[in-house]
Amino acid sequence: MPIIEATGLTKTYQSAVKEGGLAGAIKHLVKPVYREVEAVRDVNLAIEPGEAVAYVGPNGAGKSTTIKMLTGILMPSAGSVRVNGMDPYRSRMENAKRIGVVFGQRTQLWWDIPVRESFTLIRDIYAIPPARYRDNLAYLTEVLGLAEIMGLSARKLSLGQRMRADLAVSLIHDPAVVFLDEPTIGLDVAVRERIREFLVKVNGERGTTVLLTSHDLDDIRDVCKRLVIIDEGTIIYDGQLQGLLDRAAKSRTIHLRLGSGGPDLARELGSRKGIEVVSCEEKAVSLDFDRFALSARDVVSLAIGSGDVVDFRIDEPDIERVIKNVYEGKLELGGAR
Amino acid sequence: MRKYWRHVALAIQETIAYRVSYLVNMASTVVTYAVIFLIWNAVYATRAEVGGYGWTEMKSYLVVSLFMSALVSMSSEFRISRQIRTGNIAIELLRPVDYQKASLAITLGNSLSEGVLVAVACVGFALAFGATQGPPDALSWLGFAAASLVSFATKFLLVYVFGLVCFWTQSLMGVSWLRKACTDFFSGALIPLAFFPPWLRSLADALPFRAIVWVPASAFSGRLRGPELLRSLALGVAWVVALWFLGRLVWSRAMRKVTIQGG
Repeated sequence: MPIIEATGLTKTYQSAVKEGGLAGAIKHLVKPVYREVEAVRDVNLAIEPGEAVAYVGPNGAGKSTTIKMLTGILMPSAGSVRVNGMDPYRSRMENAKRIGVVFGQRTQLWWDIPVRESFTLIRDIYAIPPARYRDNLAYLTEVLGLAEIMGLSARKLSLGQRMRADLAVSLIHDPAVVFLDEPTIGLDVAVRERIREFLVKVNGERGTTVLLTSHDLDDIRDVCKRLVIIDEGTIIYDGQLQGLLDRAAKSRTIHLRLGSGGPDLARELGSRKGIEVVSCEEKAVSLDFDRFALSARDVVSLAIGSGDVVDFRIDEPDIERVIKNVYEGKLELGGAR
Repeated sequence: MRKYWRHVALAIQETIAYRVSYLVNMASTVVTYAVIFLIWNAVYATRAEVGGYGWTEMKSYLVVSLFMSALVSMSSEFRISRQIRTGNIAIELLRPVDYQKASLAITLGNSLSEGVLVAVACVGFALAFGATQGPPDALSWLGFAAASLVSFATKFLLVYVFGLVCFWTQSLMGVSWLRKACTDFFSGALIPLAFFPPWLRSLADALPFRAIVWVPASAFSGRLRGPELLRSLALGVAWVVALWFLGRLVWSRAMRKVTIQGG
């Protein structure tokens, strides 16, 4: 049974329609005109326990609105949501006990008192049994490297430290599901990597269901197997990340470094079906090959058989480009839904 | 319950972290009261009694008024409106916590820690101006203690309900000034309600604000005692209950209608 289930989920906002200038402002005051804006339209989503799902889309696509409805802080205009078998809006308090949430832009820590105290508050709020609290705190302190910041107030933390502390806060009560809205925003590469490793670990070792929104496509690739793309409030793709890449990125690129004889090799391989020469120099040749017609092994052994190959490198399909193509409607997603 | 007590504890720690800003707020309240004191001093220079109040009783009235006004500081109001305007209220909603109870707990924590300072300031103030007349008997002390609790609860709930209005107005300024003006005037913080003309007095008696200053100050001086005090306290408690449910009602409306600000 899915741990998160949304059916026909819709959120409509009333947006004020104002004409420009003072006259427009006064007109609005006397007779306000509103327009209905659908932030999320008929979203259907089913996520099984233990899954790690990336929820992506351009800014304003409805990601955060969906997350707010799934976490119970926003009432849907239509449709239904079930998380852990409960309606998160109606049973907000009950639902809150079993989920963890990180909003990258906000912190759960109290600003002016030591981080340790915020954890004590969380312990009491969730009524975590002492032994489990101790174990979880020890585990999270260890893997997220929190020992040195426990005595500092949140206002003194760097963004990376704050985010690590917030991740720990969101997981210390062993939630079945964790919602992460932009957990790596504004962080440097090293911290991002650490957080990704942590998420993989939590998802793998503890079986915590993860729903992640991010603009960082490395986050998505490293943490999630499944990808859901939303645009203009509607889900336009829901399936395996690899599946999308397979369909979208038909060709891979191999870069060969040679002792010599680049043009000869390029001529030789370029005549094969499914291979196209991208660039060719004496000591370096780049080729596109159709991933469905040829395996990387085929291409490499062909190259080694017919030229003086010193080294080679293969570019994986560029997930960023693929998703961008999906947003822009350049990519045919036949049967994706 | 434990989770709310932990809010109280954290709020106390937070007040200590904010002590400088609190001291400045406190100083501004004390200066305001010093001015009011001096005005009354000038009034009493030419007469022995105003509206049935001698200068000695008026002095202790003003000291109690200072205590009550400073006990629930602006910080609660600012906290609620800031959380609403920045959208950080989302964080509170993600926790298995009742926002109204948590707000009460935090305000209580602030008042407990600030209360010590307020009391010190009031005693200093009283000594400086020679307002040394305390409650006439133990029963008046008891009445004053009970009235102080009702005062705290009333002021918190008014601050809370007015704070929630930010869900609709998106700004605190106007709402807060309205609340403050009503509180100062109808609570008797500026002028004892006994000085009001009858029609205004009836209005003030019908509103919840009187429980904030007038009732505890009159209990302190022994002016309000016996059945009359009990009636005032009972009315105050009734208002507290009503405002508690009004808070609930406004909150549930806000949750249905209003969206959380920001991404």
